Amino acid sequence: MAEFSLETAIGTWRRDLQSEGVNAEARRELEDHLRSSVERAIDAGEQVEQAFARACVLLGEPVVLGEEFTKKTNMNPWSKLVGIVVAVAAIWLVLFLEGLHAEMLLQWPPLLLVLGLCAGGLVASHGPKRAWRALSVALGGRRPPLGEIAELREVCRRGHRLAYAGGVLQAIFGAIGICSHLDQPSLIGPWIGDILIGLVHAVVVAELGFATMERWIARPAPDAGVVA
Amino acid sequence: MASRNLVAASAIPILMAVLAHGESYGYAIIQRVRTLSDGELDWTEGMLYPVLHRLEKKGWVKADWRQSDTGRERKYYALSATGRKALKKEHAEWERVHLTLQALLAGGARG
Repeated sequence: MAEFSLETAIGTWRRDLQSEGVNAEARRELEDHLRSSVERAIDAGEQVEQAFARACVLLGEPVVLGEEFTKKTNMNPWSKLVGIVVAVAAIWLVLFLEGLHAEMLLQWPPLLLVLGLCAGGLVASHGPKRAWRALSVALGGRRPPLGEIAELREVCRRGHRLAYAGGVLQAIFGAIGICSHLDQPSLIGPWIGDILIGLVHAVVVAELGFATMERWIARPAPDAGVVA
Repeated sequence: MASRNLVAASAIPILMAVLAHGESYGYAIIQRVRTLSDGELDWTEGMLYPVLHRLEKKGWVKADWRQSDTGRERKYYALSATGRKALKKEHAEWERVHLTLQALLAGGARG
């Protein structure tokens, strides 16, 4: 049997944490904790391998730590709204300075494309009942039963991805438009405007819509904390 | 052993109370709480850090990386002035709960 190497074991443990999404600074901090715990157990007379195994158990499974460390904090919806308004205003200003029509931002077709793609995609993947349930739980404000949270979060995450897919789709349409009008430079500006508008709508639907819905559904219970 | 809910609810004031006595780091904080509570407050060690990071984000604790006596880089936490005020408030609230419970158990509930 190969001899146990503490450094190799810690290296594997570190990679497990990384693959669970724990950031570099938190990994450094957890590693210091793990090493302190191992050193203390060895000082108390334990074998290195057992000391490492016990320290890992005390610290928590990488998958559990990953969930805890990557949990998004409850962002204030108002600060998010302010951020989006500032971003939209900046794009509006750029369009204005470029001599394009800022009113293009209020065009409905790009928004409908994003919303349509989200609604269609969610109904296709989760069925109309689940999609509607996620929306009504988010709007209703009551915490769903524990067993339902994971599924509803998955609906929101898919909606989030679909919204960005809508933005990318419009960017592709825009790029095709630009390529087919390379000989008419005056038409390229409006195509760039269309791409920006599509992306703005995608960000609004994804971040203000689905990400906020997910955070609301998964908001921690009042007793959530340091216990596993 | 204290219940999960109580351990979770008391995590923030307990962390801040440890830091009120001077700067410390994750592993030492856990050991201090374990010793002082005779093992009654049993935390999943890794879960302490997200709470410390939340306190840091709120500005209740300050943190900095320094070399420790082991030669490793270590993140030390210290209570900020805002944190001290927050701890005072938390302490007063826990005191109120404790006193109410004492009064009720001493017979005040009959009145």
